[in-house]
Amino acid sequence: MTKEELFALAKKISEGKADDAEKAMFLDVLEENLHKMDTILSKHHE
Amino acid sequence: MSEKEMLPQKHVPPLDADVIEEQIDVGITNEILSDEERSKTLAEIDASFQRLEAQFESTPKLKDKFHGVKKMMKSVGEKLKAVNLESLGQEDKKTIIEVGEVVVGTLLVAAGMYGAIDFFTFYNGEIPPTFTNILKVLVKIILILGGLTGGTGVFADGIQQILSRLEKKWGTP
Repeated sequence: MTKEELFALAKKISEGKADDAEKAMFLDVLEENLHKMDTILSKHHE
Repeated sequence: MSEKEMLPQKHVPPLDADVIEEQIDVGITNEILSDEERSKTLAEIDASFQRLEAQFESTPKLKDKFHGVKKMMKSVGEKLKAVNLESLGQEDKKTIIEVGEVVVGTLLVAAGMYGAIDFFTFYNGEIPPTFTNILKVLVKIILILGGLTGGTGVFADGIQQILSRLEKKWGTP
């Protein structure tokens, strides 16, 4: 999913138009990005 | 010519993260907004976050997942705070800014703060000269969002203060 598509999905969520699958996908992307940050930060803690 | 090359070059003034952090703290302690402005802002933003939370309460699975994301944000925010941001390599800084923009920007947009689209697509993946300051701001916002477990008005007020401040500093694309 591109950044633009993700922002579009976020807007859809804010408008109450997203279905459960889309909401789950949105959270998956957030989780994925948070994991990326966590991986980098863990490396610097070693 | 790529889409990126067609974007107008913008002068990016230095971002004073310390001032922004102070602004957040001042905003939280109710010293910037008048009582009336604060009440109105809090009510609006509180309602936005309540609507956002409600969006993820349609199933127990979604609700758990949403709360899991908030916990992760808080954890990552704390780690970011503990790391010396200056010591991160260029690639790591770039990645953290990019993913931070996605996490913070999309959550604000999902809460109805559409102005965040402009802020968080402003640099289009480029590292601005003030990346360490931007990292500090992202850390702060991630911590604020990650802490949305109640009393959302206080946290949301802080976010609004950041966005107002950034808008004044950077303008809009």
